[in-house]
Amino acid sequence: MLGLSAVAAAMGARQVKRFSAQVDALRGVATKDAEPKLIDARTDIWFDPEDVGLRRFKDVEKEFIPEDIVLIAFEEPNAKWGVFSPRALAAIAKLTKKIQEVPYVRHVRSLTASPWIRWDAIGADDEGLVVTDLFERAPARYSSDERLKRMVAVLGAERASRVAGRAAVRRLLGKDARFEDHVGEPRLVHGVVSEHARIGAIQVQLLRPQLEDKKLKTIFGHDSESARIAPALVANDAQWGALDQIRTILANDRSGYRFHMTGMPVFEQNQLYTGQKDMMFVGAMLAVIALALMCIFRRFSGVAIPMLIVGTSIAGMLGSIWWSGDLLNNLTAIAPVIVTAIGVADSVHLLVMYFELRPKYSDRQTLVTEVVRRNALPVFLTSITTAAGFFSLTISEIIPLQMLGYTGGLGAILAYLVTMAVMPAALSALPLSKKSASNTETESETRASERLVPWILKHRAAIVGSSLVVVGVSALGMSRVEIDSNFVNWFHPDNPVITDLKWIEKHLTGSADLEIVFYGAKSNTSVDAAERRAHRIEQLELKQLGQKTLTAQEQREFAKLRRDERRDERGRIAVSERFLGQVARFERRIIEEAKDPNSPISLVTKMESALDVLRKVHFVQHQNQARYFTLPTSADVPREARRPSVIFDEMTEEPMVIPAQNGSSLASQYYVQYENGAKPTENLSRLITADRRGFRLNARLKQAPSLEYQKAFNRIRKIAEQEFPDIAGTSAQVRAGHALSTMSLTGKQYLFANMIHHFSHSLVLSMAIALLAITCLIMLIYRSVWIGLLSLIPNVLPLTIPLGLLGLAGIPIDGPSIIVVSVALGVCVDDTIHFLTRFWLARTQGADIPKALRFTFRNAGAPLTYTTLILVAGFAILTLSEFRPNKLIGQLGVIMIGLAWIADFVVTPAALSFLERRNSRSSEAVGEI
Amino acid sequence: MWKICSIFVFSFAILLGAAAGARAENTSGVPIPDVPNFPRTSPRAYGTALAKYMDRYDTGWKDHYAKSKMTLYDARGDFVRREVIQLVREGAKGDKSILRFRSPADIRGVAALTHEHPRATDDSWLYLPASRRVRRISGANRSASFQGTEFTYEDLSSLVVEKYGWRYLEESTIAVDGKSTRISKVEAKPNYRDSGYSKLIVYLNQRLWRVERVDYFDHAGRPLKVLTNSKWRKHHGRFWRPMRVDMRNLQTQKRTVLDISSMFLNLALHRKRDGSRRSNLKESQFTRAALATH
Repeated sequence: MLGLSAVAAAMGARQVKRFSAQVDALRGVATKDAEPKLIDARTDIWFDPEDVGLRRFKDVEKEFIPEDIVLIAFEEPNAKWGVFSPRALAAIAKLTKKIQEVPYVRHVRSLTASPWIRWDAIGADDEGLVVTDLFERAPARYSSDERLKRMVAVLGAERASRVAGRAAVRRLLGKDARFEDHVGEPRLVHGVVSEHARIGAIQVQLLRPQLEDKKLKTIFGHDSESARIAPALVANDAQWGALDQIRTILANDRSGYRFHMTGMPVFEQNQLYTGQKDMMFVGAMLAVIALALMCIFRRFSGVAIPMLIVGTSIAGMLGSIWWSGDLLNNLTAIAPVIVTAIGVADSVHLLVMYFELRPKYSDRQTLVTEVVRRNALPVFLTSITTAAGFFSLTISEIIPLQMLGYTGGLGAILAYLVTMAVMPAALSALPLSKKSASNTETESETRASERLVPWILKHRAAIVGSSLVVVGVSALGMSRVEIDSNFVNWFHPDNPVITDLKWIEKHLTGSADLEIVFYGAKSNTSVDAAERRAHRIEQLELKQLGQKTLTAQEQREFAKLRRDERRDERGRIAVSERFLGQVARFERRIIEEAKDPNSPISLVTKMESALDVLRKVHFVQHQNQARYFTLPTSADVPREARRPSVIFDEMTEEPMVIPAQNGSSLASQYYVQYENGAKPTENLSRLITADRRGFRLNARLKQAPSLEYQKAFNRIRKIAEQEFPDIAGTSAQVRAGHALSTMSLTGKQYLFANMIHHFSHSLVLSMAIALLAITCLIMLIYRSVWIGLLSLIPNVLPLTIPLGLLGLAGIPIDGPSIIVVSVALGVCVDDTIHFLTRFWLARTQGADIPKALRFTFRNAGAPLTYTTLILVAGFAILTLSEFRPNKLIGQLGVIMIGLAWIADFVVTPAALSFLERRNSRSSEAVGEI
Repeated sequence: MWKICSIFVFSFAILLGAAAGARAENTSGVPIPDVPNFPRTSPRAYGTALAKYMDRYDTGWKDHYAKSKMTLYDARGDFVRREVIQLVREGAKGDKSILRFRSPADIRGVAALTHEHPRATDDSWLYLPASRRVRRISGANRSASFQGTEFTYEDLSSLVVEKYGWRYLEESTIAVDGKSTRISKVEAKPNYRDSGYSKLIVYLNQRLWRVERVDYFDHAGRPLKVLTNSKWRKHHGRFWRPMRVDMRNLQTQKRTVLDISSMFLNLALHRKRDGSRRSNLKESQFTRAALATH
């Protein structure tokens, strides 16, 4: 077994090395000794590849731009100028320039690097649209009036007057100027500057680099699993590398500001770093277990053998996982802890019995055979039930949970095989005891059992009754348990990422993103066919415009082509006047309701979309008149443009029809106008798709528990479906022309919030299946329905009490922590099986209930107590973790395993004593056998 | 829109032919400058000399007309197409150009006029048929996206020698139109303020004096985009022009392909449908008023 585990570990290590080198090759930093890639940190590993939300998220990434936003904010206490002070602007300009040079930073938006689009004088005698950065030169070279002008351009006159003073703004704009005509730049307020200008921010768009399929195929060949995992590792590596560089830039900044940074990549990186820090707890846990073993057995062999078994099992398990091409993820990373629990428990049972029997035997082989004979069944059963429990997780839709099922199940089987293969061999190598049999321990155990068993039997009704009451009340509490997850609560409140996040959310804006994506009907016509159709329409139009009458056939053809064209055009929602009007009202509706602190959508702090672009261009086209800070409509199209006209190609002399213009063509042309001057990184590709059939409304949200997110998402969906059914139709409705677009919510935050819901659902389902399977197995093994049913009490009680208390207290359980229930269930069932096996053995040998219980206490008492102590000590280490879910796993693990011990030593015997009458009926049959 | 026209002028297609043979076919009336004895004292001197010669080489085409299709691919390979017509008038003090959209229908007739000023800010105007207005535009960034494509104005503008620091890198071989082609790699580092790149690597074909490929690097020095010219055609036995220009963004996997369906250089060398001789494009065709009357 040692050899097999070693082979698996070696092959696994080889596969990891190969994969790590391949990933580094993708990153373009191929080295001889690639850093091992052990963890699969893909976001999408948490979701079913067929999950609609995930597919939509992927579509959005491909059709728009795959990027995440990172915000860096600071406060300028200068009350008059705020971040428009020369000092703050100089700091922003310097940081913007430096951060722009960081790899994978696609774009930096800040006060000094945002486009300033306006109607203004051009030269001495002309005016027009002027597109410049807000601050083109070094900020120190701007006079106070020039700075004030830019403050008004960003904040608007009203807000600027509250910062710089009404008189100053009045003096700048002139005495006849209307403040309301100076609307400012809504895309920047709450984005790169706060309303009162005290907070400035640098918004970094961090690319998730995309890899060519061809390149992936070259490197990975047919290994599709690796080809799926590697790009995410490359993307994470790119983003986290960029974050590290940005942190260095901020640390080296000499402006004296205290910078705060937040965003999804910051969170993900923090999670990894904290997780990596927690890896040391696995080592600490092993050390504590070793110490506990030393205290219990006071022999080197008592420590070395279990640790050898655990180490071999872990190496074999991890090696097998990596060998098969999988990596660890945040859930399976705790698999070593699980295997440790299982391996140590099995070893302790064998060792306790070995050291107990050793003084009585003079022959090693006989001694070891007896130890194995007595433990073979319970160890086998506990391993089978534990493996079954884990394998039940494989029904989950959530891949990490599935993988935990496979990994835990494999670990349980491996631990069993290694224990049964290594332990006899190791025990055979130990010397026999020179001392004769001593009854010290046996006597003390006998005394304990002599006292405890009568007490339990005397109070059995009260114990079982009260246990049932407790289970009932706990079940009630459990029904109220909410599985929730809040990223903020995952970390220690003093964690810098959390303090930064809270600061930014308090002073500026939310740090999470929600993508509300609208899609119009897809065109059934190919691009070539659409071009041919457009050409034919143009020909027929020209004929009409040339005062020639179309033949009847041409008229029919013209009408049909027009109809087809209109049907296709209907899907181009980003230029549809009707769609834009509706989505604008929807956006306003959300913003209005978000102001109500009691509404679930009060989490929304800002919304951004192509509507902002259209309003801005319309406003600037109309010489900065505030009444035109609206969406363009057909009413804005001059009468003469509403008729088709003809122009001629200079070279070919062919006529070209300029179709009748309307609000949609005006919107299309405004997009062209905008893209004529926007930086590539500010272009429309992150707001609308190139075919104009996709439209993205981005909402910034405050961090909140997943349940609150769920409520907010449901509310947004409800508002859309009930009040704006035209833009939130089903695919069928859109295809049939009964709705303009479908609406989907997506984004990492959305996916995670949904995942937590699926997570708890999956876990509860698989736990129920596991419990049912284990109960049936116990019934089958002990050939007793009653024993099976009674076993439920000690199996379920330890789990329900803490969960029930949390439910009654209204404390939600953080999503990932709930997997501790799986581990605890495994331990509880193991304890129960060890207990029942001894009890059943005694009963089958004709012992009555009190005798059978005393026998069980004497034989199983010490190993069960030791395994409980060891595991409690091990889990207690996790309570020191900075990562809240792991801390909770530690806390719940200690409580549940401790309760499992109480249940097995108090509740199980009391419950079993009720079997007396039933068994007495069958005792004759037993006696006959 | 001088920047657009010059896609065919300097940056993607530079010069032509092996001297003697090309002279024999040259019907453009523009002699090919003699190939100087390039100084090889340093990579910088050699690179700069190559760039200067390229610049001198592609002069004298007077004006051009091109009809093209721009295909914009997203990362999934889905695409949309736009059709544009370009008119360019070569000028000693900078080119003048008009770019007009032909499709899709909702932007048909949108036209942009640009007066290039190599050492000052360009003058630009945009005409929107839906508003029937010509608006002057000032200060648009050189690193601005060209109509939402993967091209920026900077990519489409000429590689004005003085605006870059040149350095010869090495000789290499790449595939062009399926043929193995020997090229010289020359690094060009922008020395103007608002460039979107840290450097370009220009793949210069010294036999035909044309640019086969350009690699663009972002401010962090990482590969950003690759431009590939192909389907080359020689005009008037003198000027090479690519009929396909492919710009691929390596970081987003988006791509824009420009397919030129028809191109004419020096229009006075072409005839009208009725057989009469054409004239070259006039100054008056590149005015604000002319833009509005289209």
